[in-house]
Amino acid sequence: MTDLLDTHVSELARRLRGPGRVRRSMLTETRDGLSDAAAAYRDGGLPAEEAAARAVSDFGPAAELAPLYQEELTARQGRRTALVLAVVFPAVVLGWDLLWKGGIGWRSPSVPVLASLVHLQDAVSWSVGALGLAMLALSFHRRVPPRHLAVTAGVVGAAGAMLAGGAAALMIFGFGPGNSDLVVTDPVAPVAYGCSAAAVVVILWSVTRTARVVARGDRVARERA
Amino acid sequence: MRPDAVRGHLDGLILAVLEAGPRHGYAIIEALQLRSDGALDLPTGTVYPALRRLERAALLAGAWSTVGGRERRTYTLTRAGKHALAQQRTEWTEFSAVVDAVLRPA
Repeated sequence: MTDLLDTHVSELARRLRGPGRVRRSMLTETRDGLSDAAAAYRDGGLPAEEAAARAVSDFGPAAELAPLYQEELTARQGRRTALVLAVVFPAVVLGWDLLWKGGIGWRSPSVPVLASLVHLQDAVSWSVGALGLAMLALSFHRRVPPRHLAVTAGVVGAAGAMLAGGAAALMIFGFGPGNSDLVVTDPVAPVAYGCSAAAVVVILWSVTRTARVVARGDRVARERA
Repeated sequence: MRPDAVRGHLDGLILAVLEAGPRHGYAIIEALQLRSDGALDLPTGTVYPALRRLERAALLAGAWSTVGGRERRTYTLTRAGKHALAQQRTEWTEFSAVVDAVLRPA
C-alpha cells in the first residue's frame, strides 16, 4: 500500500523543480493527504491495496497535476529572485557609498567617464532594487501569472547584473588608475571587492535558478498537453 | 459536476470551508465533499497547490502542527482571506442572479 502511495508521490516529485524547502513541504503534505485518503477507505471496509489504489485514483495523474504544483514553485522562485534584487542591488550601492564617505577611494584625480559610470551604476542599481520591490509586492497577487513574474525578475536581474557589474569592471580595470595600490594599501578594499563579487554571484545564481525553474514549468505543461 | 466547472471557483470554496476553523489538507477535501453532498468531483490533487496559492496570497496561513499524533500542515483563514471570501460571495450572488435571469424560461 505504502509503495503505491510513495510511487505516486515520486512520480510527481521527479517532474518538479523549485525552492527545496517549499518543494519538500508540498510533497510531504501530499503524501500525508494520500495516507489520510487511503486510511479513510480502509476504515470504510476496503482492503489496504484497494484503498491505496482508490486514494491515488482520486488524487489524479501525476502528469496532470505537475503543472499546478510547478506553478506554485515557479511563483515562490520568482518571489525569491525579486527579494534578492530588492535587497542586493541597493545594499551594494549603499555599502560603497559608506566606503567612499569613510575615505576609501582612488588616489588619482577623477575623470568624467568615471563619474558617468558611477551615475550609471547607481541609476541601474536603484532601478533594479525598486523593480524588485514592485515584483515582490505583485507576487502576493493570485492573478499575476507566476511565469511572467519569474521571467521578468530573471531578465531584470540579468540585465542589472550585466550593466552594474560591467560598469564596475570598467571603473576598476579601465578608468581606475591606482586601483592596485588601493587593494595593497587599504585592508578594507579587498573585502569590499569580495563582497561586490559575491553579490554578483548571488544575483546570477538566482537568475540561473529562476530560468531553470521556468523551463521546468514549460516542460511539464508540454508533457500534460 | 465537471472538474473544469469547479476549478475557477476552487479558491472561494476552500476559503468557505476554512471559515469554521483551521483544517489540514485532507480535512478540507472531506469538508468540500461533505458540503457539496459529494457533487464536487475534482481530483483531490488539485486542492494542495490551491492551498499553497492562497497561502502565497496571504489569504491563508499554513503551519505544520501535530494533529492526532501526526505532523500535518494546517491552514487558517487570515483577515485578508475573510475579506476575499466576503467579496467572492458578493460576486457569486450577483453573477448567479444574472445567469439565472437569462437562463430562466421566458
